Amino acid sequence: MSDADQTESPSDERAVYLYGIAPHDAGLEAALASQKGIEDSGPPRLLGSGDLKAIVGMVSLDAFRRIESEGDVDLAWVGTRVQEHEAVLQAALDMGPVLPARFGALYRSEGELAEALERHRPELTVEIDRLRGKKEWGVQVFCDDEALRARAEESVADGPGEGTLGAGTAYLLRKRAERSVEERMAALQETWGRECQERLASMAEDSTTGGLGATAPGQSGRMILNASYLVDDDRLDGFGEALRSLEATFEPMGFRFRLTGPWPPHSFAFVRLGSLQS
Amino acid sequence: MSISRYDGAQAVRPSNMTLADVLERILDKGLVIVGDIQVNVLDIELLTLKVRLLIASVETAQAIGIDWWTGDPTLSKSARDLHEENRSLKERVERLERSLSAGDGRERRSEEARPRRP
Repeated sequence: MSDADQTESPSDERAVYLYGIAPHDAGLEAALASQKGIEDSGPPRLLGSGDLKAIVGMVSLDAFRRIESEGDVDLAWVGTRVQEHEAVLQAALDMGPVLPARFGALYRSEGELAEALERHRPELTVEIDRLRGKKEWGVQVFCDDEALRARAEESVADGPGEGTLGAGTAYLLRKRAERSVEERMAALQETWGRECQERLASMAEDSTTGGLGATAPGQSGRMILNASYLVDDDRLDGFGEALRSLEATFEPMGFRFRLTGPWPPHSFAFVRLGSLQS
Repeated sequence: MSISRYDGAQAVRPSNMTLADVLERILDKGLVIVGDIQVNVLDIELLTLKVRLLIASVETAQAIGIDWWTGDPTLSKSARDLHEENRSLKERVERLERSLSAGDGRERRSEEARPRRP
């Protein structure tokens, strides 16, 4: 179809895979030595001069090309590679700050990547310094509608008993009460959800919220908050304290909290370097 | 200097990270170094988009519990728009390339089309 398909044999093409960027650290290399790397490519290596190192491996381009083209993609393959990518970053995170690369960053040669690193050294250094001593934590909040409904019903004033009213009036009153319970539920969820987000954010350096879905694995209830926090290691106790206090307050209202982390600062390292004309 | 892994480990009790958690974080975010001619072999934004479309279109997405981030209507809509835009750009570049006489100075495939971020 495309020229590339005709002129290149993809089967043995190899490329440099970038996991992330970290400051040079004696412990880093040792920590990476025990990693098997993406696609069993072996322990990641450190590339680059001076204090700034790219964490890289050599991979076969074949499967990545298949994803990029219109061909079949194996979700199981993608899922495994994604977790291998993360495993390397987690190992690096144990040793110090790491600027995580997006999944699938592939470069033609180590030399060219090293040059790009050199070219972007100032921005990368600033970014790593900003993230030093901080990690990302995820908090999702799920809401049990039944428990929330009970709270909302408590707070909606009871109407007159139905026995004293005509059937039509009773029906209308009941409808209105139902509607106001729904409205009250929405208002409570909104207010309490915002309170959770604000209190956690007050213990973090930065925060961001992501998409909501019906649910998540192993969870009951609707997801009403899906947030990520960049937390300074020195303030982690306070962050944990805030979370525990929110749990104590809001679990009786039907909220459930799910914490994940520590993550490399994926959600706070959204850096895009380079332009079409270099 | 082996510092205990997280000083606040007693303060927080994280859940296990699922594939969904990892996908959400590393697919759309993180450092991207692109556009320096000759540097990247694949278009990472296109790659991200393809994986995203794949996951959004596979029913197993729900089974592995990733519907909560693929289900975002604005994201999947912009992903589809981007997909279309990218396809038409690629076709255009291919036409342009064919119209140029063959051979020298041909750009790499990864440089042909460059989708915008949504």
